[in-house]
Amino acid sequence: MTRRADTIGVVPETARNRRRLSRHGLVSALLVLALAGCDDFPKDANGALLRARAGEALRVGWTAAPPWVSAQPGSEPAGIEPELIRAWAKAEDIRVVWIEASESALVALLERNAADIAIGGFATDMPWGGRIGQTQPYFDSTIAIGTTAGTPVPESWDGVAIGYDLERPKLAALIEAIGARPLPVADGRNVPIRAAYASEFEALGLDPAGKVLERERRVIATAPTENALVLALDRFLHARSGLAEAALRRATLR
Amino acid sequence: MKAISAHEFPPEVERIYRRARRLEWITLAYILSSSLLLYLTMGGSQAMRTSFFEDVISVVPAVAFLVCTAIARRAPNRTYPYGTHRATSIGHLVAALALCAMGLFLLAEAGSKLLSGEKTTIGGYVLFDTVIWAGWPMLAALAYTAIPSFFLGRMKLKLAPRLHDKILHADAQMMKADWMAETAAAAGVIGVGLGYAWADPLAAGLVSIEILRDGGANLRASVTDLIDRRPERADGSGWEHLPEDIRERLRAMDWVADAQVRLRDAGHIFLGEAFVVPRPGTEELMGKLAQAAEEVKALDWRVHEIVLMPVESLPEE
Repeated sequence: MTRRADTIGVVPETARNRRRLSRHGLVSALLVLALAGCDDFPKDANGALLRARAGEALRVGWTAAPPWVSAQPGSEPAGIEPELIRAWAKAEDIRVVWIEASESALVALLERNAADIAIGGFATDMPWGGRIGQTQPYFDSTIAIGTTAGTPVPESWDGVAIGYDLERPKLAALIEAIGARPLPVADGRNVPIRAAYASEFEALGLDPAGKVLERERRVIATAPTENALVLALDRFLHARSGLAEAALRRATLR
Repeated sequence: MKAISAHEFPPEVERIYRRARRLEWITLAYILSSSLLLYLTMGGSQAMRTSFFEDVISVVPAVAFLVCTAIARRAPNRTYPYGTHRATSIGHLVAALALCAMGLFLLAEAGSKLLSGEKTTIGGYVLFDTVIWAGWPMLAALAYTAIPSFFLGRMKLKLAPRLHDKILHADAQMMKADWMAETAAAAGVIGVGLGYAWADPLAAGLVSIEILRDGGANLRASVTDLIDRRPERADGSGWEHLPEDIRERLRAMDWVADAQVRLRDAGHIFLGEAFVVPRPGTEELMGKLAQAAEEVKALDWRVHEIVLMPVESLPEE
């Protein structure tokens, strides 16, 4: 009887709660103020940003996923995301080393803190999003079907030949999913009906055919709990939000 | 069959009951509005589904109170000669199970997060075209939802013993569970910001154990009430002293040689029997018994009906 009065009695409990609250309230208010005034809050669990700013090279893993990341002769990747990373590193005065690996190997590298950032056309719906860090979506990409001037839009997509850049095999699956026939096209060649990113339509001389195949929100992956690194990337990507679309246009023209 | 008397609360307690009902309606509106807000801001994400499930559980004690205390007030009739007071005990059992479910759910969430190697990263959040740390709006949202829970819980905790209502007490602990879980989440957000990814599941795990303890205490109290254990105070702070008080009151009467009392908790009220050994040669026993019953009932409003039974001797205790 007395034991229970000690543990869950109402009167002692309310009194205790009140004391606990005022102390907790004070402590947390002070903590929040102190943190808000801190220059290095939020922090990185593994200190990636601080290390990079101190002169150590930032390790960026990549896997080819054109047009976001494409391989080129030499050890450094080309494409939209490498361009973004280079622009950010230049603004931050940070040195970058590139690590090429498959997508699943990149995730393992990030989890082991053997890489700080990974790029490879990742989107918000990637299945291992909870295990690693990621930026806010920096670009909403839409894959749609476009037609050249004078080409009538077919009433049904069944069996229609739809061209796609042969370096982007993922598009073939999207075309097949609507019952159409994927037609691999070497870069720059014209076909009357083609699947591409909406931002590329102008460069390819296409008009939208009113059929969207996929919408994705592009993100850049980071090692887990590298909060300051993600925040720095988010700030850069938001301030230069036109960069991705401009890079996508350029990538197509080349 | 003779039914027991009809009222549930005396007038002064009736006022407290009305206040408690008002608090519960406010709770209902508040939880519904906050889960609607979550739905609108987080649409469809995993975190949203988790919070929605928490909201559904945390609304159970409030609904149990509103439904069961309303049923408990129905007047006794031929079919329900003891009235429907026991509805309160059933409501308490439901509320206790909801508390246990909440504790288990939070513990499982925290455990699976620790085991699966999931690590939270909190980066930027775009607010009015500037990028701020996403932890700040999270902390603001958590404070917004935790503070009403804290005050509603405190108010209910005060009313529960005056109403002798264990559902209300369990609900006060649910409110406590709510704000504690939110405080733990806030600690987790700050911990992640400091670079400690394990802070989030650890804080949630510790809080879930505290909630489970409350749930366990309530479950035990509600089940033992239903098997007619001697009455306990509504806040679980110890035994009710009423059986002893009644016995002393009876034994103090000059015509009573000895007496024994047993009471059981029937929700808001107590029902029971008193066995009285009259002194030899007591006259007008019937009148004295009736008067004694009135006196005993006047001791406390919760003594709803007590049957006085004259006996020759008392059994061994």
